[in-house]
Amino acid sequence: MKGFILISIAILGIFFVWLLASFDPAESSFFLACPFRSLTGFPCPGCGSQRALHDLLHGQVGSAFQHNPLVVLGLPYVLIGGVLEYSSLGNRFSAFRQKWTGRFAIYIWGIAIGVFWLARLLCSSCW
Amino acid sequence: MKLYYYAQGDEQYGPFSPEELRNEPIQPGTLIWYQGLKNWTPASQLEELNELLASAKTQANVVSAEGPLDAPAPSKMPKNYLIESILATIFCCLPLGIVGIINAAKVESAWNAGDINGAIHAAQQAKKWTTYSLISGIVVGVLYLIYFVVMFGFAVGGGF
Repeated sequence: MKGFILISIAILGIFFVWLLASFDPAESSFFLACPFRSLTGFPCPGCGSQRALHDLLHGQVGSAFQHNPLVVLGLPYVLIGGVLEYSSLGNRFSAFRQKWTGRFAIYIWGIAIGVFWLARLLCSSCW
Repeated sequence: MKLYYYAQGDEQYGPFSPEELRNEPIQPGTLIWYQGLKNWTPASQLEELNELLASAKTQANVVSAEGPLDAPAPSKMPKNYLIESILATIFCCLPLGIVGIINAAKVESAWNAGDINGAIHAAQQAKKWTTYSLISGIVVGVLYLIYFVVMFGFAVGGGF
């Protein structure tokens, strides 16, 4: 059952990446708009992440950064963290893995998300 | 009321009321102390604990399939689901993800304070919110897909 769920999630993930690579969320209606923004009218820290990922998949880092800098800066961290959490590498480097998702990382992420969100709310034209 | 302490390895646990002591992994050789007792004494030598030891034995028979009663406390911090919570915050469900990040911080601080049970509890919470995020993400995604296919069908079928 667990294996089935993991495989299903992996397939959905690959499909989503394929969609993101094939279509530009800025121009196509394939993609779900941010529910938070649709409901409240305010942007959330994740708004623009689909456009940013699309640009990244096409190697356009600068344009991705304009859509959502948090995604661009955070992606390497999340990818490395995901490998550490879900592969045997995490056991081999268990101390490093613990540090990677440790207290310091939690505070940095908490502050980064909070500051970025606040900045967006205060200056909607900036990002 | 008599408050009991017991020792296991180098660690000392307690105080426990007699009722609470029943839930602890006391074995005949476990060293016990309470105020008034001169020395740490094996549980088997304390008459008042005979009944507790007898019931612990039957319990041990019941749970032995799951592992020994005196299983050592985990030596590694439980998984704090920080990565999953960040993903949930940015790509899916802002409020659920933020609750996840807060619980990740709780796992961390409880563990560093030596509160193993607190850390395990917070880890379970973090896991719960990660699961909720995942489920709501998939449900919304699938509903959206259905909506999209239906609209597409209408458009192809001539449009209503």
